Amino acid sequence: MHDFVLPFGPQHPALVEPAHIKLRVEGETIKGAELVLGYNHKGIEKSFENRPWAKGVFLSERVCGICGHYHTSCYCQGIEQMLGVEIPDRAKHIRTLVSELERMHSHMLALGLVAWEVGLDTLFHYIFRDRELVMDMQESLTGNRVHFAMNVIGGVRRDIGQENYGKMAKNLDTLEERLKHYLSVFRNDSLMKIRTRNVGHLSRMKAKELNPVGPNLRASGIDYDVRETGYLAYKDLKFRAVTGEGGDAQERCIVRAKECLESIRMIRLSLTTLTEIKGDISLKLPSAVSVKEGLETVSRVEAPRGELFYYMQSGGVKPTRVRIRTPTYQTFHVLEEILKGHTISDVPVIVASLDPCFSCTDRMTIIDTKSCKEKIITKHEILHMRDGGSHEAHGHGGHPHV
Amino acid sequence: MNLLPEALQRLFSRPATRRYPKQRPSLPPGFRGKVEWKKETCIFCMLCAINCPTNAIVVNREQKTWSIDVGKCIFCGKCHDVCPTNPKSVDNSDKFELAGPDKDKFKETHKK
Repeated sequence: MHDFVLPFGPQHPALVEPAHIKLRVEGETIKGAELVLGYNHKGIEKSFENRPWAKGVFLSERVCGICGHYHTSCYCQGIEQMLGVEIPDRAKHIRTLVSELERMHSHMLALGLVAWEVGLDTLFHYIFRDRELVMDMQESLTGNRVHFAMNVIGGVRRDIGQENYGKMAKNLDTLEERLKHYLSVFRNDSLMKIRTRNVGHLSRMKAKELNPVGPNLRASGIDYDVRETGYLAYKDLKFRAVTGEGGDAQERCIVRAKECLESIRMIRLSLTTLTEIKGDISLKLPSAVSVKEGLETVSRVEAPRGELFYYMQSGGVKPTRVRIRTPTYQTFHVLEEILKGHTISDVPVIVASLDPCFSCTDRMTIIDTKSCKEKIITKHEILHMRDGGSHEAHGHGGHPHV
Repeated sequence: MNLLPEALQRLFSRPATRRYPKQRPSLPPGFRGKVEWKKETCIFCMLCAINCPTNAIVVNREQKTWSIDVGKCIFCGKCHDVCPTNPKSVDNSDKFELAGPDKDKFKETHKK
């Protein structure tokens, strides 16, 4: 039988986000896969260099619509490291609380999408209905459903008052009950078992070799979570990493559902701790923060999809280089391995079970339309791109020149 | 099978969605909607324009005008935070139905 190359994406009814996967198939069976990224480039890394540190906070939030708060936390944490300051305890707890809320809504979105790809639309609707409870809590705490704009350099912008506690406690109780139910559905439902058990299997050995991050790694039995280092308030909240055994699509969903339950536990504990901690929520640094020129730092946090990494180099009032390594960028190559041997109908489920996020992953590719040749822009070329910001628009039509 | 009892129950209950626009959503206090300007208190210090992350606000001190491009605004509330007047002359209202087909209509200029 001949080998065929079947293109999957970037526009495909079964793939929500823009990635192109070249599947080498023999009949229905996948023999190999090749990933092509570069359909969703926004030029945010370069745009950081055009604006002062304080305005970069809002830009970093726009890297991703689902995990924006992690980006601002990581960015602010990096600047605070360079300034050599520590944020107040109350600010740490509020940052952590909002992080965990965001993790819950992100994981529930991922669980819903897996259910949808499996063909269990009922479950998809139920999970998304319950996700609204998290979105409501986020809205009442921060003012927006997404893009909370909660962080500033040196703390947070809004305090969490007692008036929210009653509603939050009620919502958290409902969510806990619902998530336990979904956990049993993902474990025991016959359709779920057929479509996700032993599908997209990533063994412990392979996981060590390919080194993905986040729940995709932990589902293969490797205990690696940045929260275990105890940054922000995770040490006080006695965080325990959730790991799985199977390493298949089902296990990845189970790990996500269990992480949501762990988040609920931490949010509850955090709310009680917040009643005891008094004090400022911010260091009230001036809005024109200046960092000593030439300083560089590395900052990392655990985003819903895994380790998020920022490298920053200071040029005084502005950064000279910001490099973002997002979790999906570190995870998505696993797909080339775990797709092998499965049929084409399994591809959407496997992709969704990895919970990829492309808006933060894509890097720029230039395609010459005359010669049809592709070219990846190197770091050196980006650094020497004259007036680089002018052609790079980002969401909401932001102005690149400050 | 786990989902069947709930699915049957849902057949006889009301939809989870709200009947918008007939039924209005209840917005929480502190909701960040469209930025509005109060001419009575503004002292034209330019702080909102300087601190706006997307440069959506333009203040002209000579002509005493305050303009905003709602298409550029990201509803972060920074302008409200930095406003030095009491009561604040720049504030997030709870208006959220801001979509429209005409891009030029997003630009508003107010005069004192």
